[in-house]
Parts: sequence; structure tokens; C-alpha cells
Amino acid sequence: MLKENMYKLYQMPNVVMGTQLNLRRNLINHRFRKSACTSELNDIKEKVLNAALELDVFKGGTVFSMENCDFDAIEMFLEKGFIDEEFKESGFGVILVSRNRKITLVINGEDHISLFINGQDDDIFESWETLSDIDDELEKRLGFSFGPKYGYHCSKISNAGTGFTVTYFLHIPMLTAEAEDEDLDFFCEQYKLSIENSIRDSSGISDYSKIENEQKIGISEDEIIVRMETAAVQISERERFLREKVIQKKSIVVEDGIKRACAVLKNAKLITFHETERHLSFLRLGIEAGIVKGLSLKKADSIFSRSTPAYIQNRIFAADPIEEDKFRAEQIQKQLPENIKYEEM
Amino acid sequence: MLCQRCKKRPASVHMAEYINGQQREVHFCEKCVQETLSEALNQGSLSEMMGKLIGSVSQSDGEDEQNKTPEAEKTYECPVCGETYSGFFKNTLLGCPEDYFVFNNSINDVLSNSEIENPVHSGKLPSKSLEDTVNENIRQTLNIRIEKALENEDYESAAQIRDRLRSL
Repeated sequence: MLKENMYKLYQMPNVVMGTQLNLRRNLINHRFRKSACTSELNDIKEKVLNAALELDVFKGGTVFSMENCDFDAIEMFLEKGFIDEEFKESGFGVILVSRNRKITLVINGEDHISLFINGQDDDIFESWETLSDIDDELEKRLGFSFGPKYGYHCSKISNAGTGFTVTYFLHIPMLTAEAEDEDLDFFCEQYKLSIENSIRDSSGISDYSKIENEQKIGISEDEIIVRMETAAVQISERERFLREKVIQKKSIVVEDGIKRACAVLKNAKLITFHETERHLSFLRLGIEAGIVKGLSLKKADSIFSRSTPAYIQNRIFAADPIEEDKFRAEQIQKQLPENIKYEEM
Repeated sequence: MLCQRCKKRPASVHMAEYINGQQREVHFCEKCVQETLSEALNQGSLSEMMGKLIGSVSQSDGEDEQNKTPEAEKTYECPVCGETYSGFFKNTLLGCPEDYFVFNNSINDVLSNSEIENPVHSGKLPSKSLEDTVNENIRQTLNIRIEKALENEDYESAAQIRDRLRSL
């Protein structure tokens, strides 16, 4: 039974957890955040917000101002990579979320305008068209800084050109396990992409990683999408191949990992983030294979995002790391369903 | 970056022309723009005046300038935001769109070093025409300069810039 379930791991691998498209623009008559004065930032905030609220897509949306935004919302924006610490501290940052919650407009971040579309099973080209339409409408109303050579001017040189980033969030436990790093190096070189931990304050690569296009100039938006889609498919194929290989040769290791994950997450008194990450990754594998019952992928991902160092540190402000690990263990056990179980062989 | 016409004053007006699909950028100081345009003012359309201005710089001069500017750019300071070469290399963030022109060659070097074969934009274009965009860029520079002149209580310069803005 277990062997049969295990094969589902590579027959239907849920490698791509989600996507994010990001488009950066700057207003034509204004300095970037680094140099702009208070009145200039306020002016940008008002102009962009007023222009955006005229668009159908943002009508009835929610405005979050950093001056009076609640903690949970800020944390969510930080975790999703919409904003940085500097934005959080500034009083000029505004975030506008569309009514359907798929589109987010960040005003006065690293760039004056940063548009995001997050998706899971969406057609990435359709998402780009939506983003491009919003871009056109905002450009008509505001005017963006653009030059023939460097395209859309961005605060960071590496974003100049299209100002367009495609991100894939991936669950790649087998690719990151053992000595498979050379595979990832190959993908980075082949598709000119960067790969990193999907959690903003963790370094290195983990089971939960994200890939992003590094090149934004000298390539069109469509080419970026095609390149990143191809990369995501290739990485998924490689992950699938490695899962098959691991299951054939080391199924006991995977089975042990899944059962150990259930036991530790349910009973630990202290747990570090990296330990949590590893165990949740095994649980994810178990859920996909139908071995772990009573826990959905969505719930497992939610537990993951609520276990990150940033989330925990902001919750308890503990000076002692042991306190953080204790709090994390308690939080996980509160969120894990009572009826979680795994199938016996 | 120095003005490609007089080779003395810092360039603050930046233009691009396309010939047979090839792009060429030219950079002038305000004084040279003013002199050339006032000579040509009664002689033709805006595009003809632009053509005359761009034509006042020989192709070879432009190439020489491009070859020697990366080192020279290390001493420049952006007239709009005050950004310096060392400043933007320290934190990788630019201060304003004008920096893309002031540090043009250095930025080109940065992008070329990141293994981008041809670091020239090839994606979506703004819905406005290139001429409008160039005009907007000139307006942008002049607007910021007028603010700076007023801040420094240099009313004579502010009035001159205002007149130039009106003539656009």
C-alpha cells in the first residue's frame, strides 16, 4: 500500500506551489525613495493612489497605510515579499489590494510603483496581460520614467529594462537533498535565474525555495515568461525523477521521514525553524502521496508560514532563542488537526 | 558625463535617435541646447531642430566620449539628486532617473558584467511616443533644477529655466 502511494509522489508531484509576477515603475517627475523628500513622497502617494482607485480592478479594494496598518497585515506583506523593512518603517508607504485579493499595488516601496499578481494554477500569460493592462492605464494617468536604452528606470539597476520579475515558489525536497546542488547550478546558469529560500530571512536553499529571473533587460516580458516556465517544468521533471529514484532505493528513508515528522511536530516541546521546515516538507510529501490523512496542503503551508523566524520574533519579542523554539512548538501543535494520521504499511 | 558638443560643462539633456534600427544616445549641457535650438528656432519643426542638435556631434566624437567616460564618471555628481558614483556602488540603489544618464557608461559596465550580452531594453514600450518621452525627460530635469534654484534663492537662474520650460 505504501509503495503504491509512494509512486503518486512522482506521478503527480506538487512541485510548483505558486507564482508571483511583479512589475516596477517610477513616476517621470520624481526622485526615487532614497533621495526623495517628504513632500515628494507624499505627492507620489497621493497621485498614484488616486490614479489607481480610478481603475475598475482596484474599485472596492482595501487600502493599507503603513501609518496605521495592523501587525498581521504588515507581517503578511513582508512574508510575501511585497515590502521591505524600510517600507515598514516609513510613513509614506501605501498598499492597495484588489477586491479579489489577487493584485497588490505597493506605493513608495523601493520603486514608486510595484504591482504584484499572485497565483496558483493561473495561466501566467493571462496574469501578465492583466498586469500590463493596469500598467497602461496607470501610465496614461501618471507617466513613467523611461529611456530608450535602459527601458523603465528603476531604483535598482538590476531591475532596469522591463522591471518585470517572474517568481515560482517550489517544493523541491529531493533536488535540495544530498548532493544535488549541481543540478540547481545548472538551472541557474541555463535559464539565468536565481534560486533562494522562499523565506526572506533564511539564507541558502531549502526544500521550500523560489526561482526568479535575474535578467530584466535585453529580453522581452514574453521571453521572460517562457524562459521561467521552461525552467519550472525542467526543475519539476528533475524533482520527479529524483523522487522516483529515492523511492526505489530509499523508500524506508522517506517513510521514516514522514512518520518522524508527524511525531515530532505533534509532540516536540522545542523546535527550531529549520527542523520545522524539514518535517513539514516530509508531511507535504506524505499528503501528496495520500499517506498522511487529516491535513491539507494548504494547512501545511499555512503552518510553515507561521513558523518562520520573522513571524515568531514579531510575536513574542524573546531575547532567548529557546523561548522562540518553545513558542513555535506550541503554535504548531495548536494548528495541527487532532485527527492527523498516517497510513500503516 | 560631459556635454558632447562643448566637452566642458556637465550634460543634463539626454536624447536618443534611431537610424536604421540602430540607437544612438547624445548628451548635451543646457547652454549648448539653448544655443543650437535658438539658432534653429525659425528654421523648421521640432524634429528638424532636434536633428540639427544631434547632428552637431560627430559620430566619432560620440564614440570617443563613450570610450573614456567610465573613469570620468567616478568624479560626477548627479545634478538632480546629488548621487555620486561611489554612492550608488555602495548600496546599489540609484537616487533618481537622471542617474541613468549621468552614470550611463558605468551602468552599462555593471549590466555587461552580469553576463547580459546586450543590455538594451527590448520589452514593452510606453504608450507615449519617443518624442513625448524625450520632452518629458527634458521637462523633468528642468523642473527639478528650477526647484533647486529656488531653494538656493538663485532667482536669475530660476527665471531662465522657467523661460526654457515655457518654450518647450
